[in-house]
Amino acid sequence: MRWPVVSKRLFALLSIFIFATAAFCSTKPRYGGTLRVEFLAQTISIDPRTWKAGSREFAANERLAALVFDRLVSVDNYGRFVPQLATEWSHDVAPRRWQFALREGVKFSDGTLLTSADAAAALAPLLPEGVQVSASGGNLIFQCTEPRPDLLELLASGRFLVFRVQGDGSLLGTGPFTLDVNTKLEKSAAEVPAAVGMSTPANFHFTANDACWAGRPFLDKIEVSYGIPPLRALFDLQAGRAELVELAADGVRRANQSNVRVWTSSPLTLYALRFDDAQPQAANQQLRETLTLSLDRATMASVLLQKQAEPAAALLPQWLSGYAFLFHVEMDLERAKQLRGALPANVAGGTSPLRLQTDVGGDLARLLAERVAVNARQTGIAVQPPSKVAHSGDSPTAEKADLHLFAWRISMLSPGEELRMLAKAAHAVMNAEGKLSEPDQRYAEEKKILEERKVMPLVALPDYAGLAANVRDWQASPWGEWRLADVWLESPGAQKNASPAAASGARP
Amino acid sequence: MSQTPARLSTRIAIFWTFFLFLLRTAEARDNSAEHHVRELAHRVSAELPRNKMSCVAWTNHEAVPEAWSQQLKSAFVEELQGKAGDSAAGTGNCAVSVELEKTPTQIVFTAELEIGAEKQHFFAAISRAGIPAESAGPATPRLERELLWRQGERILDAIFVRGENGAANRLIVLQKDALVVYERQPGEWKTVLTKPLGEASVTQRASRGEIYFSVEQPDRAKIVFAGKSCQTNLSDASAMNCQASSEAARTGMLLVSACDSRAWWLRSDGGDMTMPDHLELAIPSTQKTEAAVAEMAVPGPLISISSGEGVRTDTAVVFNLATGNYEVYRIALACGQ
Repeated sequence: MRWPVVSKRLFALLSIFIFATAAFCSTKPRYGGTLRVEFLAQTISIDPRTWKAGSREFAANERLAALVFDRLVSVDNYGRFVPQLATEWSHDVAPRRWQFALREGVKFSDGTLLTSADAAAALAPLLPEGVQVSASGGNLIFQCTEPRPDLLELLASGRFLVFRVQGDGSLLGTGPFTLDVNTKLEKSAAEVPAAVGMSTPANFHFTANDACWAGRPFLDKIEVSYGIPPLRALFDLQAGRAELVELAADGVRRANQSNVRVWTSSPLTLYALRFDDAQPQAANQQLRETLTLSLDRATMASVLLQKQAEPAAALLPQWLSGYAFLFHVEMDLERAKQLRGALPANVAGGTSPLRLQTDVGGDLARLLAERVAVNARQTGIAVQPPSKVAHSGDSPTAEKADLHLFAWRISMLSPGEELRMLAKAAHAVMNAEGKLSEPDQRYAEEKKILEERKVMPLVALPDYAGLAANVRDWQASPWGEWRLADVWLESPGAQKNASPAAASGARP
Repeated sequence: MSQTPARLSTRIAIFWTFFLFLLRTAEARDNSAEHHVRELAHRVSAELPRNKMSCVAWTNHEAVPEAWSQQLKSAFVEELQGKAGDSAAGTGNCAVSVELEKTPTQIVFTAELEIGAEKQHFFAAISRAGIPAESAGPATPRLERELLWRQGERILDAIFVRGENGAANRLIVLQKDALVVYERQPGEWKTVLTKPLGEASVTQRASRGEIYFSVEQPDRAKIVFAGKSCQTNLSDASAMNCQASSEAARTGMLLVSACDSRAWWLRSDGGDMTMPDHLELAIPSTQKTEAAVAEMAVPGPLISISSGEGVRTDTAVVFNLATGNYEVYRIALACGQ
């Protein structure tokens, strides 16, 4: 069929509309504005060399460091590796040797060019054992002692950021923002503690890097406060004193009830118990089995944590391993009581209770510890939870505890590396040291650790954030990256489609 | 020409060595999902007792498109049948079950083999990057769309140009760093020109790039970036001719009905990059608030609307939120509805 010829009048109309000045509705982002962000973390460091794997502060550290530093490669929400400072990469058949071509013309915020030597120097001290990096022309060469098919996942997450250490110890980055000079933290002072409950929380100020290789960010500035008590963060958001705040798990319900826009990640923080090998009771396999069967994880998640957590039977969450559903731990009081009955009288409460210590601070850990003690008591095992005044890892009784309640926050997209680090932190012995690149190997290792019952997963919690209605293009990843360089603020009075109670963006 | 037996055997040895090397290399390179799934089935079947009647319970936890999942299931079952004799696809009480799960970068296949009280697990993992996308959903009656092109790399604008007088249809795609012209060949789009943008490359985060095309000058196009305007020839690789300009951003495009030649204004309802847009049809007006008379959902935020056929059909670029691909649609008005 032939289409009718379009008249010249229509073209005249067309030209009028093509050059109309109205925006393509609000799809076109707006430049400008200051985003005020509040973190709950008591300490913040943007120096990746100082970060402790698995710590709760890791998330806040990484989110701020990602404003100033770039990675070689990133992962989008569709599972694709996206070039960042590296434009292309290749590896040998093994794959043990990886080669990355560095993007040309990228400049640090002081105007000097990024070189492969800079990138190699930054990454070398951060890489796991068995991976070495060197500069070769405009390339980076990674040489691994074992096959590393997960090197891209590794470099796209965690602490693997590129920076240059200045003569005075401060760090320079190529990222979308620069840390303001007056708040710039030097190497020695990169970690600034903010005292609990202090009235004036500490601040960082970031300014848009106009010369960023990936384009100027939309926001002019980001003002960051940390050490904010959870309730105050929520009130600040509601009162318009902040646009983005970290929310504590026990504050999410209140936020939802207040019609606050809430973002939720995939489960990222595991709370688990571990037996202390140095204590004699830890050697009793039957005791460990009894305790495991007495734990009511479902109630911990649904009642104690008000459905803001998931019961955990695995070390790695399902979204990261893909096989966590194979692990089941159901509460079985009858079986637990049978096993308890067969235990010698001097074990688990006969002469002295199992001493439980929380290695992580906060009310949540204390509540979980108390719940563990209650569950254990139901099967006749005496567990002594930490007192309200002294429950942290630095208490004088720390070394004597039989059981430890610890938290582990996932920070890497390489499940093998994450499992290795987690197992190390939980003092679990692994068979295939250095060989966790295939799911079969990871599953076998994780299964072995869990069957020993020296480590007992309890619950897994997501990260939460509250967002003001004018925060647009919030495209945080399910694994917790905030991607603030792509966020923009809608001007007052122009808000459309900002649904109050659901933050979109994290689509795995 | 005669050869001594020793030389002949040496040559035969070299030939077989080379042949086996090629065979191994080809095997190593067969990195396809189907290959991994067949290998998984092979490992399962090695543990499956001979002549054991079995079926496969296959569960795709929204990890891959269902059609593709069924394709992989067929490959798995076929491989299992080949080795185990009489396996059958089905559900119910199966000795073999396979679960498909998605992680940030991979699809993990977990096969469970249950023999008596014993369970064995086998795994395979493939990259998520190579997964085919779901097909597009249905359109609403008034506006019609046809998917022309899909790619992972960012598209700023695209124009579909209908070939006149026997010429092939063309698709002009503007990326951040290149202008690419495709020509429709039987069954596929074929690249006929890739023109690097050079200094005109878009480095802004809010990358703006619009193609302006006139049917009267089919070999020329104007490309408008933020702060500059460039003229380019579409039939050769000559460099673009750019100059500073401050042209306003396009807000939509006229669309003319083939049925009654009536002109409409095609626009987006305008969310941000996290939510799907709707294409809206409104009466042409200088008022932004003119009510929509028809609308059509698209699978993500609308990046651009332009026209390469006068305004008989429009071309829309959409970022598909489900797949992460940029998709180019041809938009037209349907008659009679």
